[in-house]
Amino acid sequence: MTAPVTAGEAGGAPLVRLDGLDVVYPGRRGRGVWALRQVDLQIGAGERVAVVGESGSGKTTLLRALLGVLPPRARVGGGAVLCPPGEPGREVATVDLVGAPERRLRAVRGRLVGYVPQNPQAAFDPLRSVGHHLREAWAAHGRSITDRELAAELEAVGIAEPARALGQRPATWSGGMLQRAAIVAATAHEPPLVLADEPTSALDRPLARTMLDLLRRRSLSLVVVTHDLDLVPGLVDRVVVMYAGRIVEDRPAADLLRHPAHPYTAALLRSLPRPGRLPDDLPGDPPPLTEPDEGCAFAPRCSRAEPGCRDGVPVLAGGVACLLAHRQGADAPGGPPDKVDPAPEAVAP
Amino acid sequence: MIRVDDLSAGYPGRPAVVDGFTLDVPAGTCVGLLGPSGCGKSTVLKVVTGQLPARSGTVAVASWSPTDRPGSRPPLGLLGVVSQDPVASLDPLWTVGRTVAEPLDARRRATAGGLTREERQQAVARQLADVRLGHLDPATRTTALSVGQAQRVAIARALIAGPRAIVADEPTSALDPTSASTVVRLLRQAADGGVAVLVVSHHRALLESFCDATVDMAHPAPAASRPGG
Repeated sequence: MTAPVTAGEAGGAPLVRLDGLDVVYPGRRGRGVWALRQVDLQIGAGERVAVVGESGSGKTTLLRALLGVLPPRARVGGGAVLCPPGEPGREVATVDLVGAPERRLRAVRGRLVGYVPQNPQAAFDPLRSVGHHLREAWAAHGRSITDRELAAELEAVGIAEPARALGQRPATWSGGMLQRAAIVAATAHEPPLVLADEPTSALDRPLARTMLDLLRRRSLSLVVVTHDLDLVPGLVDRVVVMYAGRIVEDRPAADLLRHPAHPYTAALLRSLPRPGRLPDDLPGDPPPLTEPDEGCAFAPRCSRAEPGCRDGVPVLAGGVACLLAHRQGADAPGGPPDKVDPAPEAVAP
Repeated sequence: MIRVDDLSAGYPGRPAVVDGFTLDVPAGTCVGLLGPSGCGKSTVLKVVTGQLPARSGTVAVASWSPTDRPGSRPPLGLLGVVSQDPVASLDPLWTVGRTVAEPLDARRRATAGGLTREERQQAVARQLADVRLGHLDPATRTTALSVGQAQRVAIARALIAGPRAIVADEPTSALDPTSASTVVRLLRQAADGGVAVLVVSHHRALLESFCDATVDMAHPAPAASRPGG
């Protein structure tokens, strides 16, 4: 169930690690829905990572796996472990996010991970004051906070008249105010890792930018699932792109946004709207997730696909899972996977 | 085609959300309404579609005016509506085919005439192909659709009866970037086909990517932009 790792290794000790993770939800007529396929991911201490991809690509299931809250009915293969940070050189026990007893998981997860939900309206009990919720967040970690300190916390995230606002119910707060409060609650105990599931999807653009900046300021390590790829520059160090349950690209944000290596990432960037230019259309739909995949899942929609692309599932190597990018990378002397199909005016990091 | 003149509108017991607002969306053009949450964008759409009475001013879509005839509904087939939440806008018990054909069926019930069964099927197939869902079986339940597919079905429903105008309230805010780009292209295509399209969004770059003009409700001087692609 648990395995020792040595904290303080070079490159930042991993806080959480997924190893060849498969997640299958039971579907109709005994056919499973493959939400995640062979996902390898490691989040190191101090890293900030954005997870992007189309609806149904597995982003939320990935976040659930990192939180250790996959539905009990899901069939899970591979591994997912939390690695509590310890003193440098000291061995600490990792915790299995899939098989550990809930009590053991709770004790470690609560301390290590803060979670910001997609819809703050749904996360607050409408019958309790906002202040009640925030005090609960401190109490859950055995801490207490005075009203004056709490008001100062809210003021620091831009809530006006915080002392008065604390006594109000969530219904009287706007979505943006509630999302700020949710971020304060998730980061109350200064967790090493913050997970956020589309925290800006209910907000207008200027507010979304403000909220992501706030999330960055208040987190040590961050995994944020988002559709707002244009808001990613300056927010994260790394971008993970998912397609049909697999990670197809996982590279430093600045490189990926300037020179996408996977044709799907390039298509995703070209579909972002820019003034005076119709966004590019990506024809077709993602494949059904009920079948085992044979070959690259993106090949039917890929303008550069070759017959060989359907012969085997490309593995993630050099941060990209694409046979064409691998070949191009191998051809380039000493070079990493280069751009396959650059996005015009790619997002400036 | 869509004309709003000196509109004042709001909700009972509260000050006006929109005051002195004027807008013109000619046939064959796309106009974007931009602004932060709460500035009155959706309120304008509610008055234009006859869901909310105006306090003063005039509103007209072609020859139908909700301000001249308060409480009236737009004539069948005049106005297509696309909402923010595509999944909630589709009946979960209906098939895709029945959903898309609904405006045709409503017109047939009203006029006791209309298309034959075959013509109806062909119209649905044509419309689904137009919104890049030609591969989808019309017998598919709406619950089996992805969010992006659901919004394309909603657009097919809005277009099938040949409307003169379409209004869309944040049609891409629930969608991922690739689904959003498809929706934007479909709305542009409708405008290029002669429909007046009015789109509400808080995403300036999105509106300026496909609209002929955008109106910022926070600073209501129209700013022209032109799609290039």
